[in-house]
Amino acid sequence: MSALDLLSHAEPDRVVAFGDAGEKTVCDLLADAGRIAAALPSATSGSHVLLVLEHDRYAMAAAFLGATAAGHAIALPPNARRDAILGVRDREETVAAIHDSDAGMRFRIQDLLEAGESAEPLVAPIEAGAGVLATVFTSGSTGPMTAWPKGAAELLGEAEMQGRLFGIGPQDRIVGTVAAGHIYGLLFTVLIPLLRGAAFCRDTPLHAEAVARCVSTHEATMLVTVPVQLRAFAALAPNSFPTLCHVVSSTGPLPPGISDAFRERHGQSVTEIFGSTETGGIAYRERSGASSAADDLWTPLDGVRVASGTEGRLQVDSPFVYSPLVCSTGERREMFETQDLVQMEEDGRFSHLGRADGVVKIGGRRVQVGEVEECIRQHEDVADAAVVAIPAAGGRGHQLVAALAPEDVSVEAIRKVLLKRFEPSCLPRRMICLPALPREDNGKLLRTRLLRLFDLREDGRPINWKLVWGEATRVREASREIFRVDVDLPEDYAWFEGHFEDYPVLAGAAQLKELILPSVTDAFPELGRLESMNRVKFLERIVPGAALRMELSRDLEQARDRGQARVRFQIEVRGGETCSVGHLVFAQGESG
Amino acid sequence: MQESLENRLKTLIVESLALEDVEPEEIKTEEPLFVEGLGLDSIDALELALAIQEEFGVATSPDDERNREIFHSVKSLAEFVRSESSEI
Repeated sequence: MSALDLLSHAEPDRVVAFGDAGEKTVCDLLADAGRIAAALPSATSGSHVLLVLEHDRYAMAAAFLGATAAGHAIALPPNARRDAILGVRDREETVAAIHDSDAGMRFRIQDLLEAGESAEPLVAPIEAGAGVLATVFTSGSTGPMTAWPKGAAELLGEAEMQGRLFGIGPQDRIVGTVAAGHIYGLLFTVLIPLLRGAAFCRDTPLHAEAVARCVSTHEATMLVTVPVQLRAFAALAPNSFPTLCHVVSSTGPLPPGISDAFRERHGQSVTEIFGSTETGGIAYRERSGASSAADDLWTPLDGVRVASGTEGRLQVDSPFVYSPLVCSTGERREMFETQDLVQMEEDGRFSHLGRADGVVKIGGRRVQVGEVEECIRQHEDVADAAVVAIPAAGGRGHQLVAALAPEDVSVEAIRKVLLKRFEPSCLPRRMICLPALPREDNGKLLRTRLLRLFDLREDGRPINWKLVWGEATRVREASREIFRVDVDLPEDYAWFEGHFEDYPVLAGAAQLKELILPSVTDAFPELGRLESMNRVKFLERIVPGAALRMELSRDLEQARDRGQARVRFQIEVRGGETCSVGHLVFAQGESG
Repeated sequence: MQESLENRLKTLIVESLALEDVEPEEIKTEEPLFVEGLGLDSIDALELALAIQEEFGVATSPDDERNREIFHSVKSLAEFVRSESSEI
């Protein structure tokens, strides 16, 4: 397969790219790619050209074709942070960098394209075969990045297969909201359109209104996007995307509520692609809105075979995995094992259960929790650090929280160091500094104890300490003053936890501490300290969600002479049985 | 006295983005919200746009260049909400 094959469907005047900066034709693309190829140093075995092109997708297409035609492979950094870019640039194999940043590196794309020198239009073919066409980097757990090579067969093969799956052809116009430097963006918004004779948008709109305007202005037929944006699209006016025939989402699972909302609002289903940098695309799904478990299942892509391996890890045998990565033993081709945990169905589909390693997706970006922790720990002011991922609402998926020691570490300084290496979205959302972390004697830090520092439960949800109080009333009857108040106990009220496993009740001590004594202080602030309790009885269980009424009745006569005050309490389920009763004896306060 | 739009926006930022360690009054009206300053990211921008739409019925601009200016600070957000909304 060659660069010309990529454009084989095309007449020279056909538009390949459109956008606010204007249209570009096949002819322009070949000329620009030729100019880039001519400017680059000569290729050697295994030489790579780093591409950091965030602004104009057309520049990415021209640089991809130019670099590969000159015999280089392209290198894509894991993100656009300075350290990541320099990490790839400083590798031995990297012979040049083409970029649109202010980084001061050679080969600014603007200079290459605006040079205006006529170069030979591109004719040299991409060498097909075992050679590496692109190396995609993921950030690694111990600092250095991991390189994932892709040959022409894998990368262009997948583009061809996905293009066929969606039936992409010359009639299609593709708008992407994902960077072309991300493998998903490169595949769907550059390679698929080039291979299938479609056109792509040069701009990468972010906000929902900007995306809708871009799609309608350019009459786009396909939108390539991510979950966090789909959430915002679902809030746009109905039928904001009348020209679309395909909507693709990847980089993380799309919550069912969002795919349903988008379909109802805009009359278009979303096709989700499940894949990874290492393996390429693995499976897809298109939710119908049926609230059955089958609606969540993933169907393997054409040519991809999947199985459940070590402890439920997903194994992949796919033409899109670079074959030298897959060892073959004897007759049988080994499968590539991922860190995704899956459950296989009999019909070959599967459900995704999470990751086996510490990797989480934050806003579609893969983050190794240990790597963030290590980066914090390496700061000279930090004695100890722990980072944990918790589920987050909205499109973010997860977020990180960090606990650091000692107490006087500057969170600002840590944030600065992290920002050099990680995307802002991957930084811990909360950082707390303590004299020391609550480690066990053996040095381990239990997840539960770490989460407690942030007032979070084991599952990452906030601990709910809040009772829902009603309006209190107060009446005087003979020699008694009676205080009544309604109180509702949320299902997830913190005090239901940890008393009896799987049998949540509100313990007597918790009733006294959280319900009764605070109400006494509220009702009779003049009373002194609690001296004794008697005839306290817990008659019925108080369970999650209980709607209670509490009555505190203070005897204004009895025990006065002893400098004491007696308060009778009673808690009942509203309109139901009495749960607890008892008498509390307080020291008579100063005013009493 | 009615709470100022700037303060309502600060509360909205803290609540909609669940910034649990930040008090609304700590956010400086003219300071950049993104990367420097409060350190928000593009996901926050999308979340915040949704929250502003719900709260004030104001949608972001169809032009992302303009959105970058709008989302620069509480001050620029407040100016935008004032210019777009009839209720404020």
